[in-house]
Amino acid sequence: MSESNDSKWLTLPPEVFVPAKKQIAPFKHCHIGTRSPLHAQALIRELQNQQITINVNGTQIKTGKLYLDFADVTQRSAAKSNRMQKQDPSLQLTLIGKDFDLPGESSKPECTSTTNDVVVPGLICIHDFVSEDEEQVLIACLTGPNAPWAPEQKNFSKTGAVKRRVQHYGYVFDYESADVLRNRKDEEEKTLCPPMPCLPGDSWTKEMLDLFSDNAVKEGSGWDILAAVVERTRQTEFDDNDNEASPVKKRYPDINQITVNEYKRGQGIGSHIDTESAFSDGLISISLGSDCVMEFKHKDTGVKKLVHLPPRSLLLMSSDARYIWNHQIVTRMTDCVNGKVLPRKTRVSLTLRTAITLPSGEGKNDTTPLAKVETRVFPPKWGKVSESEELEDEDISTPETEREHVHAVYDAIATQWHHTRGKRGVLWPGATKFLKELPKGSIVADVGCGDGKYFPAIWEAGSYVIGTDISEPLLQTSIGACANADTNKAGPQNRQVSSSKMGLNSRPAVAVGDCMHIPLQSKSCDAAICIAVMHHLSTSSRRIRCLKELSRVVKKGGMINVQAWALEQESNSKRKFAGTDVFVPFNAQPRYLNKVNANGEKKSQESQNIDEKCKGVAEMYSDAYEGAEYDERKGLVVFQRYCHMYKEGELEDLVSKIDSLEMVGSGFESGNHFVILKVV
Amino acid sequence: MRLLTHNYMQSTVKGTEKGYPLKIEADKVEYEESPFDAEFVKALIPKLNYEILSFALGQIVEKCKQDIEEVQIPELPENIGEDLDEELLKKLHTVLFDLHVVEGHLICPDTGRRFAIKMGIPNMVLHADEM
Repeated sequence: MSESNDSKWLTLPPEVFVPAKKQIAPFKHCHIGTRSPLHAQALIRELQNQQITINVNGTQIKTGKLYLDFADVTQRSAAKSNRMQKQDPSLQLTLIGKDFDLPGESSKPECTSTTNDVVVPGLICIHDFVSEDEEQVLIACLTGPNAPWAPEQKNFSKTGAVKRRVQHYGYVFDYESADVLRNRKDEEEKTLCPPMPCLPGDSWTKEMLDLFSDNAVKEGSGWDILAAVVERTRQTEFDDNDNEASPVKKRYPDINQITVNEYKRGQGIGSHIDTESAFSDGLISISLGSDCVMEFKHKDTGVKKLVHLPPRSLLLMSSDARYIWNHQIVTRMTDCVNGKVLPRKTRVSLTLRTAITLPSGEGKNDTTPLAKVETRVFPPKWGKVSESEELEDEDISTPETEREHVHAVYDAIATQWHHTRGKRGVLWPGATKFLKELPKGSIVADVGCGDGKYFPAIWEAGSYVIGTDISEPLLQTSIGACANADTNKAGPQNRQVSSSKMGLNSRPAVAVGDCMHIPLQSKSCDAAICIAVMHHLSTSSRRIRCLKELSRVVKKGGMINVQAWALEQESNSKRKFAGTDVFVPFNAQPRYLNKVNANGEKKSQESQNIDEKCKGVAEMYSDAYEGAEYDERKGLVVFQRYCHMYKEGELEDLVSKIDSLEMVGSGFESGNHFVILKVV
Repeated sequence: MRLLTHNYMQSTVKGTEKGYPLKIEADKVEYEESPFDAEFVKALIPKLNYEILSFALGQIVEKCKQDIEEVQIPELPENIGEDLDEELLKKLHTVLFDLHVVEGHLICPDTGRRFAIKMGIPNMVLHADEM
């Protein structure tokens, strides 16, 4: 699309570009030029899953069902469209009776192959620098519940806030001054980013590093892997492709700063050369989670080079590549690599750099690397490191992580949780056996009962259960009063109980309560169960408190069964946990999130309307909830649940800290660790 | 909320000594008949704090008499011994299983903190400054 075709911008329907070689043969992809994200969104609304007829060189071709996807306008073209609007405010596009934004630039991904012959001196890409296992654990850790994202107010650049989330380790890179903050002053929070994770001790050989990293993968310790990857980078000898006559190996042993960038699908970074006075030669970018094409442009000649960065690769920018070529990641949804269109996913990049001192005298090169600031205290945190770990141990107040990523999530997804999980009614055999063996007439506390999945098993065993849970909406599903219930009967229809237990099932005994303060009398219950609860507690002091509370409410001699998710999952399990503290997504269907679709039969006529409303609700939820995202293509809201995965022996260790509890059994079933305890 | 459940509940507000028994302020009570299981009632009796059960019934009995027409609200004896006849077991069954406080409050005896009961579910969660 050339600039001279301005008038064409007003002609619609939009132009369809078919790759020249494929004009005769059947083709899979074609590019539709649109003028704005709104225009593109409108097209998707109109044409998704439709078949259309297009004109290719005079031949009418009926397409298959279309799958449309779009990339946002580039920053440059957005600026251009702003300028154009100023020049000619009358420029307006109309499509299907709707008003649209001003034209933007085509976002067709340019293929890397078009710049195959361009060489950027000092640019080296090493594939598979990080293993797949390492990548998985690193991503889980760096985007997980303990990731130290920079506080938002710190992410300003000259052109406004940096939209993507970033983390800094060692030293803060300040977007406002485009410089590194060299002094880590105690009184200035803004400079006190987390130290870089480091390895225990020195003198690491490559073999030792690999062994250490393998073990860290098994332990789910992303911070250890990050430390190992940094050390591996420091030790790597890069070929100097700059100087073929006298090859020298380059090393960057002084790397002292990490910036973690999270590029969501479609996000990019503007064209820039990293501040020369802030970092020494040798910038390293490690890609995790997604492919991406980075665009290099010579600052004088404008010559362009497109470089494919596969996931797990390391890119070194040194000499010319670092100082005289601009680099950028164009904001769009796909890249084109050797003729193949690669959709982008969320990419986490690790930028490893060597921050340097300011020149002291005349010479520009009299700078030295700043001292390394490192830690073995994980997770690394912003601000002053508190000396008194003991004090924190006493704190059992609800952390924000749990409020946002446990309590709020279960409140939001309660109805769907009950309809899917509850209905399936999968009980852990160990827990059922435990309940069956209790004496008849036992009073059982079900702490964190959720929708009351275990209630029937308790009743049928001849016991009476009192369930407590922090989520009121979940408890409402347990009594059949959920807002969206597709039943009008009293009592949840999914629970199957024998006729003598109908009365109990009709109105189960439940109370809203916190497992830090179980609202039951001390020594009043004969037994307690606490299933799939403790993996939502985010500190060890809260885990211990939960066990203490369980032992408080149960009589001497009474039994307690505790189960929680295990880090170690069976090899055939669909679940794999890449860390001890992770976000586990829950895919919520918008129809369960609101009350619109209470009656399934209402579909058909109203379905359009309902879908629209669902979409509205879904967007509302994804806006309101920390970390929740609306996946428009799947029509799902993805919530992030905080989970702590217990290592083998971890529950036992916690129990050993409580005098009133005696371990009488422990084991592993269906991806969970369990302990059976006796109150003594 | 059944009176059986009430028998086990306590307030955990900061500053409570026992937090037990909770007073009941019933705004709405309901009766729902459930299958009588003499053995189950017998098994539960020894687990109960009978005094507290009588206390709880006393707290809601007037409301029950107002709201419930289906049955006569049983009167419980002051004490119960070892042998329980069928009639008493049936009375106990009604009090333990079939009377429900649907709306109202539970009140901490030590601090006066009021815990709301909605749809039969008492909300015992504490505010941050109560822990």
